[in-house]
Amino acid sequence: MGILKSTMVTALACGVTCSLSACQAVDVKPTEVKREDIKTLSVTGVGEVQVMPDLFVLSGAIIQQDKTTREAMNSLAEIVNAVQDRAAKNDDLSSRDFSFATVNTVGVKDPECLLFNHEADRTNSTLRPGERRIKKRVCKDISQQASISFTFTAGPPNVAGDMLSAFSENGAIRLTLDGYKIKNIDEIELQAGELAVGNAREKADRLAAAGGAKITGVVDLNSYQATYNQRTARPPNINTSGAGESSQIVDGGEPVDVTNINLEAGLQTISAAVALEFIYE
Amino acid sequence: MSSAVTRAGKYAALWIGTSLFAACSPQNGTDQVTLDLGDIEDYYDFLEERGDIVEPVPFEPEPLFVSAVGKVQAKPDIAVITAKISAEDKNESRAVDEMGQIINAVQTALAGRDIETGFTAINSSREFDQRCRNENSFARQRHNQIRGDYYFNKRLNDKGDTETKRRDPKPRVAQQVCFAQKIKVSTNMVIRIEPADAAGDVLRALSDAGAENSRLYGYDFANYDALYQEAAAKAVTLAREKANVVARKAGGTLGDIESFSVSAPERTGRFGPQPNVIRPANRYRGEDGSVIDRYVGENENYGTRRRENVTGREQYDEIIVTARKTNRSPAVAFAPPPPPQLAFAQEASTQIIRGWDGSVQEAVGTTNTNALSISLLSGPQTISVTAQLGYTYDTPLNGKIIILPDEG
Repeated sequence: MGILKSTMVTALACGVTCSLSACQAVDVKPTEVKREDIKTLSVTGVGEVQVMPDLFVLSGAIIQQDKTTREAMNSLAEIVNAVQDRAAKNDDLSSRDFSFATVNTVGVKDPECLLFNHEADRTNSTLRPGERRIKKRVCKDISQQASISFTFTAGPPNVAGDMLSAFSENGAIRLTLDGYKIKNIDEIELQAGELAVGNAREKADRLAAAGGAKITGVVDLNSYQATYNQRTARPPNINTSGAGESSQIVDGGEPVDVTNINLEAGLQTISAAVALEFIYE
Repeated sequence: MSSAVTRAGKYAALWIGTSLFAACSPQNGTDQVTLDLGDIEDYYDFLEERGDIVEPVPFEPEPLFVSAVGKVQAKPDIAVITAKISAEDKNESRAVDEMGQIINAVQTALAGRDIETGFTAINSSREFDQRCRNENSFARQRHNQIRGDYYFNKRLNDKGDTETKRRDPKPRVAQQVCFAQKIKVSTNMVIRIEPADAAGDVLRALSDAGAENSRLYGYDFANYDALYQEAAAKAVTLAREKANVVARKAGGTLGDIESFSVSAPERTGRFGPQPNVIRPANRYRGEDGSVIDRYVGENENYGTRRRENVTGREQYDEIIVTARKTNRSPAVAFAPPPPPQLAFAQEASTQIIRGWDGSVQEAVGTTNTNALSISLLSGPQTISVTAQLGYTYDTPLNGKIIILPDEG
């Protein structure tokens, strides 16, 4: 065993030395290739992976107005707690995660008064002969507004409809189903990319053969491009100055019971496309 | 022999050119080079040393370019339908309830079919009194006119211009507060149906269940890529045949293939809209960021609630919209000439529309929900691929040096 090891070490040492001496002895000149002599074939490969999403993302807002900030906050808290309670008690959910993005309180001014002052500014800035300067009013708070916006990420995705109904039933508004999440999206994208590259190579081989040529290599692997665009998901914006949401909220009475919505989340397709440049001869 | 003749011809041309140059040019310029005719030999050697005289190159014909279109006809096996479901009410929860009932009814109506449904967006929006908003728009317009007149007259007054007529004052129009009247909740849905012939029935079922704006978005192929490959191979084979025929008929022999280009597939993603897929924020940093409000500028704690500072866009979750088509050409150093655009013939009442990004999508020219007419729409469609090949070829002159006659 010892002899074998020694022999191997000697052989390795000899190999390395020989290689080094060979490198030193031979003056390797880079081969010159003219640009016009490089024959390339560009092929677009596509790859798709279908996958069932793991989570859904809902966003919404809760806005309450009352005489005092305390009362507004209390009624806001009541809805926030009810909403969270519904999420916590839903046994169909395997995961649930609230993210409350903004909590604001603001004194709400009378929108008519604010607009009157706005108009007064306009008129006073272009006062014409015969016109009198308009005195601006003091706009007092007519109510207090407390608001919160949130996103709710939970799974499985098929419960999205039920949660949308539950949130609406409890007083959340501006509800949006933002979309679905795939936990291992990186891996899925990679798989789609791999399929796309394989698809490109297969096409290149086949097309080259049809044209009487043969693919000998690839020159550009950098043009990988996934075929999706990205958008940002965000909770709704709530007006937290001046008249607050007083002209935006519709007084439609208390929330009513809402039908559970059956929203089946289908398979999602993650696609990738890649244009590769092959050399042929 | 031929090289010597070429050289002699060039000397003659150079001599004539130099003579003309010497005759026509002014003689008093300081930058001017004056040649004695006896120095031609030296001058030629000088140019040759400098590399200005290129040695004659043997003849080689321009490559033969041939293009061909490969077509594959196939009947689409998937129909893509989009629809909208909406409801409105003063009470948002009542509107959600109404929308939910329609969504459930739609799915009940479609139960048992080989379909794939997806809801691409669900959201609520406020509906304002449009008349009030129009009046406000007019009021703002009037205010701008009054301001323009005001400054026009003021300029004249400041200049002391008494001759130009002043603009008459226009009556002011006050704006009103436009309150939200109703809440509208809506969702868009996309349905992929197999077989495509069932599109008509599905459209009717959607309409019966209360969906709006039902639209046959177009048709898709489950095996699109295989069809593309078949068409591409046909195109290349046909192009090669053409090149062979041309060379053979002309008495030449086809040489190497010099260039190769095949039009890219039109579909590099799934056809039609899809539900949004959200990608976690900060994925490249290994964090799973939360969705937070852009306008929150500080860290504060509200009980167990969390607020975070916002530093940039990457803090948000990102939504991936799949199935978007791109036609980005590869940024490569030795890219072949861009392939010709695909030309689709209008077939089976399906028309091709070109999207904002230049991508080609198939769309149906009608949006009516008449089942009879829709059943006619799923005839075969053609997938076309264009190939362009360039070949060298042998000619009797290949490798010979051509000497052009002297122009003088």
